[in-house]
Amino acid sequence: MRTDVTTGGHDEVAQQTQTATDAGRFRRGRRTRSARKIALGVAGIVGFLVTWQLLPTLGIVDPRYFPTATETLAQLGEDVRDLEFWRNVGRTLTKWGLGLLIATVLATVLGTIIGLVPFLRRATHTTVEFLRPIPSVALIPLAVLLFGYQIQSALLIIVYASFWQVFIQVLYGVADVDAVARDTARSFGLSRGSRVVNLVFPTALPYLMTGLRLAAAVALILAITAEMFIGNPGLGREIVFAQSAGNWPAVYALVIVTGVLGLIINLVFRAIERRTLSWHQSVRGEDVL
Amino acid sequence: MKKSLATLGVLAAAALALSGCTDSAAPPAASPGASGDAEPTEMTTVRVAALPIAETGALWAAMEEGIFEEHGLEIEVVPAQGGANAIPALLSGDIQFAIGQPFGPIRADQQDLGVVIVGNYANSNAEGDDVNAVVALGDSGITRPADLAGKKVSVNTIGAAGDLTIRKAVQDDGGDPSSIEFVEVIFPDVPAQLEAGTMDAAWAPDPFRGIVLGAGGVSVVQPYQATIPGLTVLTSITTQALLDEDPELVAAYAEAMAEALEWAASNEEAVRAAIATNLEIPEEAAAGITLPTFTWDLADAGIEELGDLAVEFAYIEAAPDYETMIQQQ
Amino acid sequence: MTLYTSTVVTPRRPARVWAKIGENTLYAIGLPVILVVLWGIWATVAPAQFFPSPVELIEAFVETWIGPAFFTDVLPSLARLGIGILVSIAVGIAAGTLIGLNRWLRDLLEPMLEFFRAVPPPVLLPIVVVLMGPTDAMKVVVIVVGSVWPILLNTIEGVRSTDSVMTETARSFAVSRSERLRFLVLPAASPRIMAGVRQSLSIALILMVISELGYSSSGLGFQIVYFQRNYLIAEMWSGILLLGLIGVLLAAIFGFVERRVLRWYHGIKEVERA
Repeated sequence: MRTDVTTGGHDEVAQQTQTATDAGRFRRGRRTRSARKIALGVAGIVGFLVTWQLLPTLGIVDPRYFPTATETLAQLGEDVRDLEFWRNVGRTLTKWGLGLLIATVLATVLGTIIGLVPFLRRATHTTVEFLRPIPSVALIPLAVLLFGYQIQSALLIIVYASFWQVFIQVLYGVADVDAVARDTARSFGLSRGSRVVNLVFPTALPYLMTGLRLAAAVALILAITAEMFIGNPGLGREIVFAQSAGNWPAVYALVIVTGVLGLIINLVFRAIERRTLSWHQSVRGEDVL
Repeated sequence: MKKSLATLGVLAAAALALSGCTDSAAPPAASPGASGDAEPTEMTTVRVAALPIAETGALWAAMEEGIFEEHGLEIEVVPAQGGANAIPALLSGDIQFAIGQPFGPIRADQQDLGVVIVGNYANSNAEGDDVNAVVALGDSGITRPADLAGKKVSVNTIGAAGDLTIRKAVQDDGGDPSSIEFVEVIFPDVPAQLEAGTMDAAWAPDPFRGIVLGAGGVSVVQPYQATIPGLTVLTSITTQALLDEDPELVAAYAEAMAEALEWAASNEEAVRAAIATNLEIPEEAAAGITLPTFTWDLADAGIEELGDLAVEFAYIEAAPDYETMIQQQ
Repeated sequence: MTLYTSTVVTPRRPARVWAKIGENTLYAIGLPVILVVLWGIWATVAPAQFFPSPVELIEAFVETWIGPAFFTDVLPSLARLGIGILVSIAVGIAAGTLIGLNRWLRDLLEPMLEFFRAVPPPVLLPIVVVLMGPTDAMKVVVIVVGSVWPILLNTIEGVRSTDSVMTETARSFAVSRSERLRFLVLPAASPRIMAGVRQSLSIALILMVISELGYSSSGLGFQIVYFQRNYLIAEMWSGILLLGLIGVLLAAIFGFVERRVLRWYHGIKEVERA
């Protein structure tokens, strides 16, 4: 590089060239960085598959109850071409979606009402804190007695658990209204309804989206649990049947399917949440995880 | 990037569809014995809960043979995964009939829930090879029922005919039944758990019993045969409510089932074929299964003895009201 | 002329301590009491087959759980729950710290971790159960396998987002690696880790029940199902009630621990908010 810089003009040009090279290097660095990331990720997946293949082949785990990766993936390939498999996916997703919808509507309505009235908040606090930790699976015996194999028994479990996720978030959201904004709205003479629509809803919306994301994951877990332990038709029941038949490749294949389903749901709802968060800048306690 | 992903997705879906999808739930080919020349009678759909086990082979085979269609019944088999949930499903009206072990109705009767056994389905074998047995590994040192005292024994459901008859068998052989530790393990996992040593003995039916015996295991006792020979394995169950509201349906079902079971008892090949198809096991495995005695008649079912045994071992508080609980159709 | 210099004393309002306590108690038990009374009335007027009256429920609760069942079923279940939670925390924090601090390790494992986290835990029950048999260890493994994920992932996030200025400062002060870990990275990540622990507590409770639904002969979850199978409705409900109480207890213990561990964090937040 030039060492005998004397005039400012030369300096600026040198400066600009340096910045240009730096920027180029930065962009190149970014590209290599993400390429490396993808490469490592793929390596991780491959490494996992290789380990999985080796464990039963080398006899470290019993190959009768722990099929190799190739066996499982072959079974998965067969399943994907089976119409009944897709019907089961549909059944699981139906109860998931229905349960999530009911839970969200109930929780939003109740959460908004209770959140906006301080008296109700205080009065319901202990009841909520007692009912909330009851694990939904404890209600499975009750659901079976009430509804047998019908979808309502699954919905009971799903709605009960998902409701709390959304309810708590909506409660936080409604309470998080900025005090200054609220007082301004009041002093401007906005009606109660208008305040709710223009002030409370936008504040609570990101919280609602977080609650929705959490509830979506919980709803899937409970939909599958209901199918496994109550016997509603769906992926969970198929897992139990495959287990009863000793068809372990089928069991593992279905486990993978449920994982993929969970992954897709996670990604979709995380994306939705980020969209609604993008314009909103409140300080929030619950982490995006 | 997103657009190309989308087109890729559509192409993949199209490829899948074109490559020919299978349908594992498609109904089997038209049954040969269907009444084609009689006027089409109005078919009533009947939901029947049955376990996905070998014994249900008779039902499957009879359905394929068209016996139920002849009686105007279209059977929809609802796969149950444990008799326990079948009875609440009956009570809530979700299903009309259930094929399950007699202990379910016995327990329901304790609470006067109105569950009725209207017919038999399958009895165990009073002599020779029974449908189930307690097996152990060859080197376990367990050879007779009394050896089970103080050991860990698995059954598929605790508090039912399995562990009850095992206790009685041990007691009859001079052992202490209260020292047995029962665990719940589903039948298909029995060979693995025995081998792994997580339990000492297991009560299992075919084909799992056969797997253990084939690997050098021993048959310790056949508890049904040892305590109540010919004890019923599965019965046909419904509710008092259905009996009161729709006696014609129950009568039609009873007639159809009686005929179906009689047919199955003399058409072993068809039953084994149905087992192989529905349970997706190879034909040789289906050939080696010891079949029970299919019958609709409750005469030698031994349910009363089972109930009395249950009271003796304090499984239930009081003897069941057999008059209301058993109403042979 | 003297200047009246003494300060004006306004009479202090009498401390409404008892009134305040009374008010708080009323809020706390008001709604529950009303609900129980309504339930009692409904049970007397229109007794439903599967819903016992409050009196029956309390009776069944006392009879069932206060006695030998407490030692044969409840305590073992709680012990497995406790061990499962502690193992999850230990594994989650240890693995999470290791993965969070090493960028290449994180990139390598991230896709697989995302996938495993998404698998609904109950689905793994048949697999764990057949590989490990009807043992206590199996039940603990079921709990750990499901509840380790929130802690693991939150630890990774927390460790990764340690303030770089603080890291550089610590490094320029020649603070050793292990000291940095103990006094900088982990404390900075602790709010996030605590959030993960809170999530995993509820998952652990669910899995404790599920782990007893297969291959069990005792335990709280097993007993509830046993009651259902025998149509002992009041006893079944008493089990559900007990599970609820355990959940509340867990939440209370967690709240207590969190307040102590994150004392400094709450302090900072209060100052920020003021």
